[in-house]
Amino acid sequence: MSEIGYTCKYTPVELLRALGGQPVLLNREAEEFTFSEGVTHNHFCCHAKAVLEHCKQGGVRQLVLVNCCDSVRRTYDVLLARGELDFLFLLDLPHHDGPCARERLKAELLRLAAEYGAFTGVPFDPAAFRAAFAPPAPLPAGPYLAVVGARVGAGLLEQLRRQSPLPVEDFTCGGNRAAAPLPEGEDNLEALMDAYAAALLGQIPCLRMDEIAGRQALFNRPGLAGLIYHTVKFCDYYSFEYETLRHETALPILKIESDFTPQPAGQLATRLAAFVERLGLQIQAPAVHTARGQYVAGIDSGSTTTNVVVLDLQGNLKASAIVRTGPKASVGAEKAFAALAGCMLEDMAAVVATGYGRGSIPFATGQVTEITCHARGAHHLNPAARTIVDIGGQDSKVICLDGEGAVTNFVMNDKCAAGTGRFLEMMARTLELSLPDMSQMGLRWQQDLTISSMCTVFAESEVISLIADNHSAQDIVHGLNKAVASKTAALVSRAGGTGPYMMTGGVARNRGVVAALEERLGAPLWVADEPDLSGALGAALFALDSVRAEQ
Amino acid sequence: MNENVVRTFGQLVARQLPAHPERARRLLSTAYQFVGAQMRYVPPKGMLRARSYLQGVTSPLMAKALGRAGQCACVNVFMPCELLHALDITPMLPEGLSCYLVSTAAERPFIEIAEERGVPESYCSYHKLLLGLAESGVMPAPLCVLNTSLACDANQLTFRRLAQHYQVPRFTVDVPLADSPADLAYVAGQLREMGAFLEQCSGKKLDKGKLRQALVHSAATAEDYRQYLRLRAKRSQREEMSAEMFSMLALHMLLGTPQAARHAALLRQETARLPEKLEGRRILWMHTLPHWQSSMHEILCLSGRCEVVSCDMTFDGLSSAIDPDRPYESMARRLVESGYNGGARRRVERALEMAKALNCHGVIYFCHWGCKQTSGAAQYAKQTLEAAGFPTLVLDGDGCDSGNVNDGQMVTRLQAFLEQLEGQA
Ligand code: SF4
Ligand code: SF4
Ligand code: SF4
Repeated sequence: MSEIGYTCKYTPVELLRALGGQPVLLNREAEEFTFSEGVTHNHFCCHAKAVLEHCKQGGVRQLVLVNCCDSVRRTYDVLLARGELDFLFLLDLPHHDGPCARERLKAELLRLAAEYGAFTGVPFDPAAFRAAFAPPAPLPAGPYLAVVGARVGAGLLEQLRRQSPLPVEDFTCGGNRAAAPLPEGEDNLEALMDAYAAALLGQIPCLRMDEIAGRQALFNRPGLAGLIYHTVKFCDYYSFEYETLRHETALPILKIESDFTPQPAGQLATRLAAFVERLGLQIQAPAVHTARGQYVAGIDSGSTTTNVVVLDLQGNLKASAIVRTGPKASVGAEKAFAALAGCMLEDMAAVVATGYGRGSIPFATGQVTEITCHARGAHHLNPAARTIVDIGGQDSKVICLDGEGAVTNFVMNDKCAAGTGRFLEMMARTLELSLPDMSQMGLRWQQDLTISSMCTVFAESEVISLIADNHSAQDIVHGLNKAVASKTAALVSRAGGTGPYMMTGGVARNRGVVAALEERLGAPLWVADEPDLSGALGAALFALDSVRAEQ
Repeated sequence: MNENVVRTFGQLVARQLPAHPERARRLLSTAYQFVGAQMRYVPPKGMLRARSYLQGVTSPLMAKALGRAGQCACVNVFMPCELLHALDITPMLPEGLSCYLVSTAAERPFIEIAEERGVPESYCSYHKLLLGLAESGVMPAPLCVLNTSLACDANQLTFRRLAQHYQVPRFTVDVPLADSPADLAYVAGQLREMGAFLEQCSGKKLDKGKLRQALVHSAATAEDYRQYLRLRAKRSQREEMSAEMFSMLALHMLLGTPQAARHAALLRQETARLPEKLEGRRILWMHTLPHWQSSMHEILCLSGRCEVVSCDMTFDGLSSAIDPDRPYESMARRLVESGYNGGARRRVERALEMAKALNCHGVIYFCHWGCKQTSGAAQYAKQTLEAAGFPTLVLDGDGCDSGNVNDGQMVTRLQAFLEQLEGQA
């Protein structure tokens, strides 16, 4: 048998099998996109780029694509022009699913049967065709999570399955295929392809189809406990559905985006763990402690700074410290403890770690994600707050709370410096300003400049040309603050955040940004005296819970 | 309008947006009416009559689209509109409205609104802008929404969301990639259904005679435009960067109206009067033009070094025969035979034919932000066109959102390309 690659659930795999092919789903991530971007463009669907990479590396000799989207059509065009594959076919899938569309798809299936049959030399055998239909694998009986949205890469799916305490099903393009076996009837090719076209079009529609009401069936399956909504970078289809779904579904939903390269485990693990914490599947008793101290500590190991908060067993603040993390999270944590006045590690009854480095702190007695800790700390500081905007050095996030302080939703920005502390730092360097100066300057502007670029690199060149045009640093800083505010406001709106608002993270110390964001939101932002400490405070409160639970 | 006035106006609109979308709408609508009147009564010096005439026609249409609810049908570029003209329903084209908005420097807040509501940043910015216009409350509800699956995915996504947003009926014409008789019949059948759909939405009866008349206008427009191109092959003319975008409106949304026919006729007559002489480097443009960008305008239109002779989007489907007695088949043919349908090979072949016929020296292939069907074929197009002897510049930019543009880099690339063309014999 010869292997033939395919990517879409509308691919007639039964027909290919009957004609001697062995269909394999092309769903792997690619290490890099040098070749594919060279033959297309960098603004191009990352899955499609990965397919091009696999073709280039010779893993694929035969390929059937479905005319799914602009990116797939162009992938086909490029492969066709290169002429390197042994067999290449583009199946033109209709956007409708009525009788006329079925007629069109039937014609396409006949065309494929003729071309692939001629290629393999295997004559069409109705019995082999009927035998090629396999029933779909059964869904788990108990609670499970499902990845929905744009196709999930094989590596990402494995990672999700490893990290999730519940089974994870794939309901995207590759994993959601269910062509019903054909009814008994005439066994000539024409009649069979007609019934086959109906069976293929009868699947739960994807976003590419015109009529998508049938997708509700995906979200109503029994046992489904939560949705992981996946989008692919430079794929447009699925963000639209996510936007509707997040307002309409009663299921907890986590949004992730991937670019079809192997995922760094860190951020994904954090998000998934926070999501699972939210599902209430894991009972929160993070700290298993043995020491008998007077105090508890929370330690927030971030990528730039490590922050620690110590509470006494009554919950009063005893001490806190902020140090630079440095290259190793564990060393940063030790430094932070050393910086505490009058507290020793031995005095701690429990230490809960949070932040990126939370897994690498040897003396921690428990771990909770920074999403949950930020929420806890913020709620403790200001119980009225319903939306927390946290802008740190490397990322920004928005967390929505209910009246009890429980997380109802959260979003994080993806892999992009725009709108983070890093962005401001880089711009400060361009303007030759210190961060504290920049914080004040943003308040004293006169001319309302707009920095329209969203990308850090473009923004930098915009700043340079504003300097060249003799605009004052105050006005430029104000423009930058507005850019950060607009990016952040978009995140707030994506999360569905409502007032009262609170801001945490290092950037909350920047008065100019706070003012610009207040203007954007049309509401005041409450900022604590030590806005960087709320994650560590939350972690300390969890540590306190664990001690109290034992008493 | 002078650039500062435009900026101030844009800021004025932006300020009204959050609290008073209806005021922003009135401001825009009045401005477009004003531009329309200006074009009709005091057309700018040096501008062809064909151009000012057309702007005098389109501006009030844009104003109308921002007027009362339920007056217009929202369509995409490739949707044949003869049925609408026969029924006296005004088509409204998002790219058209986007072009107007960016000319008034009022695009940014609308784009931000769309992004805040979950429209991906990597999405086509024409469509982002349209969604922003709709969801900010500035654009009133259309009567219905019509779209083809040609030429890109955005049509389906945006128009589906629009129909949901406004709760109005929607019709999609699915255009297959191939152009066999069965494919033609599939599309013609859908267009017939669309006729019935429109009768139902509007409560009007489709008059066969009027539809025939619309097709007669289309045929005349196409013929005059063909002749214009033949004339243009031997003549130079300094034009605004928006000229091709307006012709694109005339040859799509307005095709089937006497106004489009008059535009094409004027263009033919005025071009015939120009001296037979070629000046500067002649460029064929592929895809939309960033006509808002003054640096591009400076080089392409004012420098005298080059001219944009034509754009492959303007004339994409008009080489197909139009038979007024077979209106549905004629419209269907325009879709399936469009240069934008049937794969990159066809699009590039058509461009190559145009570049040869129009005596061009080079091609600019414009990758508008978020347009995957264009960007995906960029390298293929460049290689193919260059192999045929036409130096090609792949230019990344944005047709309507200044936020995605690195102006300095675009200027450098464009200038280097001109130097390359000028260095050739
Ligand atoms: S979006 Fe639909 S058509 Fe596209 S690959 Fe997925 S299942 Fe196939
Ligand atoms: S991920 Fe999206 S853009 Fe990419 S091939 Fe699939 S549907 Fe197309
Ligand atoms: S620019 Fe491209 S993506 Fe945008 S509407 Fe036009 S064809 Fe579609």
